[in-house]
Amino acid sequence: MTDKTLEQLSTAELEQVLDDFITRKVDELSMPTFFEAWEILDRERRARMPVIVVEGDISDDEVALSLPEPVLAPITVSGNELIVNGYRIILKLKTGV
Amino acid sequence: MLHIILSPKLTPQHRSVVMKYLTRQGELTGSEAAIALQAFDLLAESQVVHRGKTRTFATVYEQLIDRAYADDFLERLLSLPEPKQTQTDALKATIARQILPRFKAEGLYRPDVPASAYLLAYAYWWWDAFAKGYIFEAQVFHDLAQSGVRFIAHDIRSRAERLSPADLIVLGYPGDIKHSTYFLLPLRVSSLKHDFYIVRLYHPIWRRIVCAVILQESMWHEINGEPLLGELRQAAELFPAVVRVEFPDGALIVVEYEQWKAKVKAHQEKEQTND
Repeated sequence: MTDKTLEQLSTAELEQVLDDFITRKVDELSMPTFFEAWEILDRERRARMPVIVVEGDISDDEVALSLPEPVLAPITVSGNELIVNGYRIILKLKTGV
Repeated sequence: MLHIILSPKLTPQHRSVVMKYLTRQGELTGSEAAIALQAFDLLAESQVVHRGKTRTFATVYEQLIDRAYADDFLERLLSLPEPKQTQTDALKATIARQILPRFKAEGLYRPDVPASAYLLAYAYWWWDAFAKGYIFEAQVFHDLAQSGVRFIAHDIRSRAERLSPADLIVLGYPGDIKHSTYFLLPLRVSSLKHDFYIVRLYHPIWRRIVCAVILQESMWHEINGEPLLGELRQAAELFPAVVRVEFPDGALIVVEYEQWKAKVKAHQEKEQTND
């Protein structure tokens, strides 16, 4: 019966599957399955996140940021500042480290 | 007339994983569990055309099951002097067994419309997730209170409070109480929002249900303890050892529930003494 899909079950079989499901003793994912699924979901979600490329030109130990492509997100760059979500992110270069 | 429009994104693989989830949940691999969550999301947006109305599976569930049974179930759950698993499971099953007759009577399950089995499966799956989730919440609230841990809990009798951002607050940190599937469900679209999560899982070597707490490093530092460094996939084999897992946006700690509870209680007692 488990090789079938739901729409291939008779009413009696479907009723049995659903009743067994609701009364099953092990009603949680196993720990290895859980952590593996978490890792997969996290990786997939990050892969779907839009990517914004910011370029930096360095001259005289100063960096000038720019967006090579226009972006739809509320992000602006000005000199060495990146403004995202009300935050000013300031890029400072360190030399000799 | 009953017409079921399954999401066109629902592949044969989704269908076969839904069947495995319902019949052999303990044998799912991590990748199958991820596919199952996607499948149930696709079922939620699938449609039922019945008596001239088109509704999603999620709407049918909300109208026929949630509105009819949720409040009564929670009232009965919370009126138990102690939410013991056998009693609460029986309560969950009693209501679940009303779903099939109800759907048959409403003309929403018909053997000559094979795809209507998916509507039924979706309703059972959601009911199971809902009931199991609140049973676990009631058990954790009961246990924390019995153990003398101070916490603020949302009132699950109230629909509005059930939608509150956090289930409970401990040491000023907002947290949630989740069973394994429900914890994973939002991770498809967002990262973790709370400082800690109490999660119910199956330990295949111990062959029993266990509770883990997944928490942000800041809360762990407050209640003290040195974790082992590990990777997410190793957390299961290292359990009950405390594991610190690195993510691109910060680290998380995985700790066994009783250890977490003992540390919170010790911290609260120390705070009280200092006051």
